[in-house]
Amino acid sequence: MSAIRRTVVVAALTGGALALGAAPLPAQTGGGGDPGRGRQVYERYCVQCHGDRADGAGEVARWSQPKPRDFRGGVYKFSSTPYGFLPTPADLDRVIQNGLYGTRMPPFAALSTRERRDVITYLQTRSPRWRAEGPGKPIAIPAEPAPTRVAVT
Amino acid sequence: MTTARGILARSALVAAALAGPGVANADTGPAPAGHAYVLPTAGRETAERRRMYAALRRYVEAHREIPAFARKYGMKCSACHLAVPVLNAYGQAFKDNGYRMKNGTDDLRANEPGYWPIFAWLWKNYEYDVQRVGGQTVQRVGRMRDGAVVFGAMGSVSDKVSFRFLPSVYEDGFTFTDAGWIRYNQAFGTDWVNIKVGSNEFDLPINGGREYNMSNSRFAVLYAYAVPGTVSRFTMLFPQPGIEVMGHDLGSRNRYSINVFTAGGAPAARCTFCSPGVFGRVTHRQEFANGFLRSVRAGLFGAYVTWPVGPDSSDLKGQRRLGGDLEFGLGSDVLPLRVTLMGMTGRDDRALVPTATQNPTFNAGMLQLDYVPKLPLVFYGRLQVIRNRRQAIAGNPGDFGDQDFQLVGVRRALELTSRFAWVVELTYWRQKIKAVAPGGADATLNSLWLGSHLLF
Repeated sequence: MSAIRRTVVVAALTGGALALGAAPLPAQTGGGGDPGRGRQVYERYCVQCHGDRADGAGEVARWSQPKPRDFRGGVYKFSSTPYGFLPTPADLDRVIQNGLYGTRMPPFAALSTRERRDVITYLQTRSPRWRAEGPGKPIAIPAEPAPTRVAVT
Repeated sequence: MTTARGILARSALVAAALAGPGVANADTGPAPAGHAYVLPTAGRETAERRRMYAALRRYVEAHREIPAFARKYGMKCSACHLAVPVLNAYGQAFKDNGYRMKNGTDDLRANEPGYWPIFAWLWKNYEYDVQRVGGQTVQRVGRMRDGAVVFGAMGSVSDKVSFRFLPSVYEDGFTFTDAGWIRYNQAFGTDWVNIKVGSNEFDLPINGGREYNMSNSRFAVLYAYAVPGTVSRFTMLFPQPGIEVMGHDLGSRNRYSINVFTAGGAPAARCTFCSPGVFGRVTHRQEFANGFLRSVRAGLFGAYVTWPVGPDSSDLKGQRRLGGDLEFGLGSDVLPLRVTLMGMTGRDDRALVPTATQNPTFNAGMLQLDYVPKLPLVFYGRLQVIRNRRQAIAGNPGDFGDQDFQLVGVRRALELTSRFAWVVELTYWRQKIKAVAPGGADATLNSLWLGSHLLF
């Protein structure tokens, strides 16, 4: 009985000590991930569709419509940047978190911010475009015009 | 008188301990302690059948990884499983969502017409047991266990409806149907209210259905533990018929579940909730940006269930279980060293033990370590203790019925694709039940288990 109590106390102290030494993840994902860890994340969650070479030719790609993204070209569909520019890490993170409804891309909201950051960094190593150019500047979306009489006539 | 009762209870416990896996704790097991163990031939057959049934249930609970999902969504098993069958955070969220990805492909109409949410798995295993009483070996037996095939169905048919149903056919013709349920997802349009009706598994910190060799190795006994001599066969390990309401946030970092049920297998059930019980659990998971510690999950759980006693089984007596758990993910997000700690306390009404003089109480604790150096290889170990804090029969030794468990194992998937998996596993475990043999000796069981199963 006392052994169990001691175990619980030790567990609580260990957990507290470990938690104090770690900082909670920020909500937003930025750059600076680890591509090595990102490769591990990719191999677990992404490789089946996007392929071992990140070429969009994974094992089940043949049954997917639309086809999975080929990351080698550095061409992305869902971006806040002007046409022809690379997306921001936040754009990629948004797609990973929310998925693409109606496609085979599921939401990966359960992944930690660090996992998402790492896999984005890994994806950025798959195309030479990321080394040659940075992401474009997001298009500023102005506020919705006020619904005045002039605006609606 | 008390001494005689104690001897009788000890004898029954010894018999139960030596009779095979989980007999003392199976919800369909033989007569509880307090009854004579020597059964007539028909009784032995019934007990054997019940024991086999209980073992089957545990096996099914322990091998619930579902290639059907991998086929439906085109993902590898490892997307949802840290290593089969343990769920990772993503798999937990998938399960909490009612087996839905929520990307528009959950509805059967979004899948190929030929897709059918059916899967199958086959298994076969070998087990070598050494049973010792008071330091003397009383039996050595190695045997190839009967294999089985399960044709199961589980998944989502639409955004709103998910289900589960698992019939099993054993090699010798024995069949049974594991508990099943239908779930209404996102009632009122929110992830915080999902309603499940049927035989529902409890949201336990360490789940018999999703841990390495959890059930086969008798470690389920932590949840299924019954104080010596009790007539109750309630166990948190097995699904219970009733209603579950559960909810979670995006990513399942915060979760809760509440089960209202009737104790399965209670005698003389006169109505749906004649032996009512309630189970609840809340969890929170926190992830960290820096350092060796990657994530912590903390949880609290509790259960209160009644079991009928008396001549007409109308007098309900209570059992209480309270516990907490911590799970640490260390080193890596994808391939972590996982450390799980759990503590639990239990208290039963003394009326559940026919010869009791006081309300029995016990404490239980568990430490589990598992490590996946590289998929699909996993090493794991588990320690567990159960200590009776207060004996139902005051004259019994203080450690009467206390239990110790140690387990180590290795598991490897020889094939792991979106279409099928082939897994082999080698496990050694040791279980000691204290002071239950004549003269107050301990009963010990050492087992070596080699199993293989194929899923597609």
